[in-house]
Amino acid sequence: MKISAKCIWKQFWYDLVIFFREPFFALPILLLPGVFFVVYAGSMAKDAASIEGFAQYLPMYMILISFLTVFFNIGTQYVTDKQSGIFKRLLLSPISLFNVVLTYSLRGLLISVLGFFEMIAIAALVFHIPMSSNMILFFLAFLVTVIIMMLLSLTLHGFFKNSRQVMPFTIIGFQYVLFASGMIMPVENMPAVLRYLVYVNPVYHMNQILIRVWYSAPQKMNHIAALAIWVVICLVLIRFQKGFATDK
Amino acid sequence: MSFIIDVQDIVKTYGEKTVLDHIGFRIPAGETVAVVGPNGTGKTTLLEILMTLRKVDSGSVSILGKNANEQKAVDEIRSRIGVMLQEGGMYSYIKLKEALDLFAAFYSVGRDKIGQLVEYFELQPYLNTKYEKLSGGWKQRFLLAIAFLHDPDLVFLDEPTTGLDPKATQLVWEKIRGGVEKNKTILLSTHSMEEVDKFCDRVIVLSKGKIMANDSPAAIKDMLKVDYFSDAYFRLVEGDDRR
Repeated sequence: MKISAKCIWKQFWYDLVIFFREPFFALPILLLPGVFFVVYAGSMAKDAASIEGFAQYLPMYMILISFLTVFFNIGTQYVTDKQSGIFKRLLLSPISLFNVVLTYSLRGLLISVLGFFEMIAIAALVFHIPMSSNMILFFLAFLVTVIIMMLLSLTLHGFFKNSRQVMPFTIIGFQYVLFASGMIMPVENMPAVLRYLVYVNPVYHMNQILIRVWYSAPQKMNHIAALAIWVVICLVLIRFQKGFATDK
Repeated sequence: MSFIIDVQDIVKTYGEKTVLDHIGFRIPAGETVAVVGPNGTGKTTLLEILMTLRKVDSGSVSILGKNANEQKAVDEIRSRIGVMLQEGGMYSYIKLKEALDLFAAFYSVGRDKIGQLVEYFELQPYLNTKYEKLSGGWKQRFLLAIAFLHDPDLVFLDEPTTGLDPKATQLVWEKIRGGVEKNKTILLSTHSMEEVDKFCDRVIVLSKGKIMANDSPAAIKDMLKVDYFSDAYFRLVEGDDRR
């Protein structure tokens, strides 16, 4: 039986409906990073000589929304859907694994894009931060980071069978992204040994790449190479991972 | 006679452990068949093989006349089977009417058919209710409705009445029997020997990866000279009366 575009659209639509119904997901994911940015940038703006430099913090907040959606929400849902038999039930219908992952990905992309425009709107309307002259490329680069984040999320969460296992990982992962990505603590001020934790953090490299695209600065190959290595690792892991509660 | 399920000499192992050890059976169309056995005896593995979720190490499995070891056939088999999983497998926050709409899209089922199904399963009062808000009995009834949504030839029910009170159990069985009257083949796993005795045409008793009996409950009771199927079951899985 062939799956039509209408069928995929319906699955995507109900996936979104369910996402916005779930308490403690939709609003915190979309609102909290924006609120944090307003508070943070607002407190800094009082003393700042120029607001232009604030733009360097925008990518990190956009990535944070993407991380919360793709890693925190979709990643844990991926595990709980396996646990509650939803995956098995979907796979026993004419829907393929590709359709299921596609639906997750489309939602991750959509919420991340909403977060992107939310941050741009706050930056432009609240703080009058000048926009990048490279905005289209910046947007495309952001989409690429979301796709890589999705790949990381599905690969790593593929190792977990139930929510009890995945919660500690998600909490540690969240703290790692907050403290070892340059978001809260400047990397230059960290002890040398801790900097290695930052250098293996894909979120740190995503942030660095996006900042350079925003300011039209030349890219450093080490950031691109680091992300490329992560992509290769994920693809290798997926290749050897047993699939979604089936041994087909 | 045509067989809906034809299993020949299958073996399934997980690492060193042999879960299904050279078993075979055939199920004709229109029968209600129960698979019973102690926990960990291979019931779920057998059902998952028949549902095309798992592959066998050796032997052959034919479902609806298709070779379940071929990927091309798997897609067709899946579009013609109905499934009710023990875990539920339904989104907690989806409303019943939305779930019906979603699964109807998967199986290309029209609105008329959904309407008939809603009427038959008496789902009307709960169409705007989220799945998580339903009682255990209504959840099972709804999952059963989804299993029958696309008018499948073969329906798998994994412990359909576990945890239900007698009234809810009776209602679920009424609906299952309704499917049987439409010449559906039903394959179910259960721990209720009373249900096997009362409702099933055939029972496959599994123990330690082998089939201990495969016949009608009445024939098995006659063979072992017992009045209740539960007595027959215990003698088969714990005693020496092995076939």
